[in-house]
Amino acid sequence: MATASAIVTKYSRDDKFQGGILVLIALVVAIAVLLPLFTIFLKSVENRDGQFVGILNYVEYFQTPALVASIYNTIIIGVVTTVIVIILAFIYAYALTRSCMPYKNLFRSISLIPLLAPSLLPAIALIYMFGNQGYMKELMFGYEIRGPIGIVISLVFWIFPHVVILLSTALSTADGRLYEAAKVLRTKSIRTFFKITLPAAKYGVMSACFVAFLYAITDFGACKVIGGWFTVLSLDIYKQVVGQQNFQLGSVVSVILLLPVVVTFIAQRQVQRKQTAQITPGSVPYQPKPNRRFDLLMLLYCIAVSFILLAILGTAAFASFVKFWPYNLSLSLTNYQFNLMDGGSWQAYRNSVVMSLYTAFIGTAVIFCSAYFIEKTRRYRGLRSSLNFLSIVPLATPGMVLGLAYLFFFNDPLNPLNFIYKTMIILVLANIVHYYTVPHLTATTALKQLDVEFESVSASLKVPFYKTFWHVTLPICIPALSNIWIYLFVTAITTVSAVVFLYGHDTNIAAVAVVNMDDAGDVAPAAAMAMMIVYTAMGVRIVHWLLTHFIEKHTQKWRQQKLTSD
Amino acid sequence: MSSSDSYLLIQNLTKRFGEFEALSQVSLEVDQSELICLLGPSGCGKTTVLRCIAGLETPTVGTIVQNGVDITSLPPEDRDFGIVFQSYALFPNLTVNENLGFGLANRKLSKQKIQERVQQLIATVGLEGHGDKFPGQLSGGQQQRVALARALATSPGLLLLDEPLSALDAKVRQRLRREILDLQRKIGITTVLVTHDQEEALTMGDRIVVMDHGVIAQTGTPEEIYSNPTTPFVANFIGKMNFLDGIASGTGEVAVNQFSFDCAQTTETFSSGDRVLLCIRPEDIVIYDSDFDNNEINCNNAVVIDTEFLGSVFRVRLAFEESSSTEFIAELPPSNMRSLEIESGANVSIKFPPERLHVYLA
Repeated sequence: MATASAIVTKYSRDDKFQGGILVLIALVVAIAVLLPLFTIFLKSVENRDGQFVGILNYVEYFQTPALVASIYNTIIIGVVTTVIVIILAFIYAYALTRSCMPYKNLFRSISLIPLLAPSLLPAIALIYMFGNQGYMKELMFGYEIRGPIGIVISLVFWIFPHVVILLSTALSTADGRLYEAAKVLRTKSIRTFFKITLPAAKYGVMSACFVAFLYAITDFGACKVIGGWFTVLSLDIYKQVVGQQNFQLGSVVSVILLLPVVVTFIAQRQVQRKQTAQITPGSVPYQPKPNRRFDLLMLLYCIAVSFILLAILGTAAFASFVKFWPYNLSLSLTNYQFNLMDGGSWQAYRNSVVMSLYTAFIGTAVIFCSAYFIEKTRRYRGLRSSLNFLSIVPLATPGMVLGLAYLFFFNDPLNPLNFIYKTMIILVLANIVHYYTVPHLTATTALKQLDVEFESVSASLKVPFYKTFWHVTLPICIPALSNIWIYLFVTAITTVSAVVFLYGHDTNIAAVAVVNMDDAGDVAPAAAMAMMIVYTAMGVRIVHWLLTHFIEKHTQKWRQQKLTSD
Repeated sequence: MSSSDSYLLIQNLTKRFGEFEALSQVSLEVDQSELICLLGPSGCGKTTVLRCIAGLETPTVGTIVQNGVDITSLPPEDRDFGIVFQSYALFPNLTVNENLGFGLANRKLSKQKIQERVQQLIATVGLEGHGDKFPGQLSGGQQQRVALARALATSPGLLLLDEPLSALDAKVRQRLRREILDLQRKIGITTVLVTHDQEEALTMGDRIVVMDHGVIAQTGTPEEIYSNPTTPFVANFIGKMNFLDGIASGTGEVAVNQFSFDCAQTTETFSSGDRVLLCIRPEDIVIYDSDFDNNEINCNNAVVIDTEFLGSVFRVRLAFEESSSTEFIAELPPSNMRSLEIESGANVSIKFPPERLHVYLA
């Protein structure tokens, strides 16, 4: 042997091209995620003139009791919301997966309705129900709805569907054999529940707890509308930045908010990993058996919960059409004349739709392609696994923090990308980054299900990788692409947190308009705008559903298996 | 050092994954039009060799020369091979025709030329009438044939088959073995087949390369490998083999218990007192009636412990003495069983023909 050095395979044209793309992705990640987040830390240790002051801002923060109280408030809101929503959603998910009650699909759909609304909407509805002029304010027994009570109820409404989805999944992966064994051994059903059902769903429940807690402590919309005197961290960020122009304290609060978020997030990832390891290939799916009394009980429970969900949504819808609550309850479209309102306009609504469409289309393309390059490239293992890791970061970044990071980073006159600040571009970018992780995981899962040798076969046939991507990978992943698209559209149109710092005069959007009109005291128009978001999300969902069915019928014919024997 | 007519030449191929050595010093020559089988248990490195030939793995050390060209550091795109994976990796959303034409569409051929070639391929593998079906609508055997046809579509110089039949059930597997072999002979394409199935290797390979723990244990024709295994591993992995602990005498004999067996042909290399394994295949043991003359060479008394009926053969478990722990297995056709009236507890005479004995250092 002439040389002892290891052999390195030459780079093919495909290899070089893929390497170039991966470097490009890394560059975009640096500009769109890492550098902005780094700026937040930087700002929190600088004074107004940009000089390094160490922990001085933090000292100032902790010497202001009003601000420190928010830490406690945020945690309390998180814990209380989590406990309530987990209990309510667990029973609901239990009914959906473990009972034989009728209309399961209907109840499942109803439980998902809050996904189509911004968290502002339940808050507005609650003011109409339990506020000073609310039609059920007697039920408050003298307590104020504006404050922690209102925040918790709004968040429970808004987080409910997320938790129901997680818990239904956890409960539906039960191993039927265990239940048969319990039955053969004449185990009491209560004991079966505590010894089999709960342990099996344990990690699912824990994971759902962490997710609920994360959503609750990072929410901005509900707290803004119904928080009243009560402050939480995300609200403090907004007040410091928008109200007092104190960017240093704003970034201090952001860093403080990041702490519990990152801790919860890491815990959630740990638990989730354990959950997936539980399902074994030999498991037999659990089939619930009819039980009149139990099924009736579950049905009544689901009716009650659905009624409350629909009542909250219905109140907002009704209030948006009422001329002058509560004095003139005749219906009109007055509140929908957004152009006459302070802080709102039809332009804002149109911007929202355009922004969400851009987010959905560009986001789907970008996220799927980068997931493809990260998953299916043959070389550059180190770069690919780091990018895979970084794709999780957005999920652990609260919208308010990301928004503020973008404000700092892109509003800096020295940044050559400064021109995108307050334009549609930055809104779309912020949305794609903010909601990057879930679609990335969806895409990665879909790609992992493809035969790992497609790329090898293509290479042996000397077909460039992009042809295989276009003719094989992409068509097979159409269902995943479709899921990603609608997820991005709905989250983009309902979100307010990330974009509240980034919109400009011409790029105001509907969700922000709800905040501003509510701020200005135009609560009914705010409700109307929030309902416009719901109508749109719902409409697009339905159209999307129909289109998906149509497309799948025409492009996924090959999925219908008709096996001939040898 | 190599014969000039070998199409594929692998020298000193070594592959390390960190500390683990998946392949060490693997050298191999494959002649033009030869079908060579890489055989071994899972984890022996046979698939790694195949993936190195394809360029899907990069060897740590070594050279691979195909058709006179050093391809060791070429990416798969720049090599000349067709491959069939265990999973087939057929494109599920493309029809059989589209799958077969996938590699052709990139060769600047006219639509008509592609069409002709696809039809030709379909006829070659006997899938007439299935061209417009999707892979999911075909049986496992049909899918396998599509994968084979797709690998041959671009007329590569080398065909790589990675466990191509192991996803199929036994009957189909036997038929497809024959079909692949006929096709390979007809086209004359040099082929490397990876399998863990000894029967597949014995029936298909012009030569077999038996691998164990990343090294080549033995290379040879199926007959050579079967009748002259050079290591106990090969002896045990291919076919069945009796292993008896013995002591070499240094004069061409091996003592097992108190019995001495003459195996002059194979024991020259052992010195007196060496612990060895005396090996004989079950079908090579000859059984006689108990009143047979035991003075003939390598004959002994034995007692039948039990018998097992396997259809075409009987398997007889024997021991030299009633309570001996040294047991061995013989196989013989049912007709012999009947004429010898062999049954549990019967006393018989057995013979280990000297030319059938293999001796390995223990």
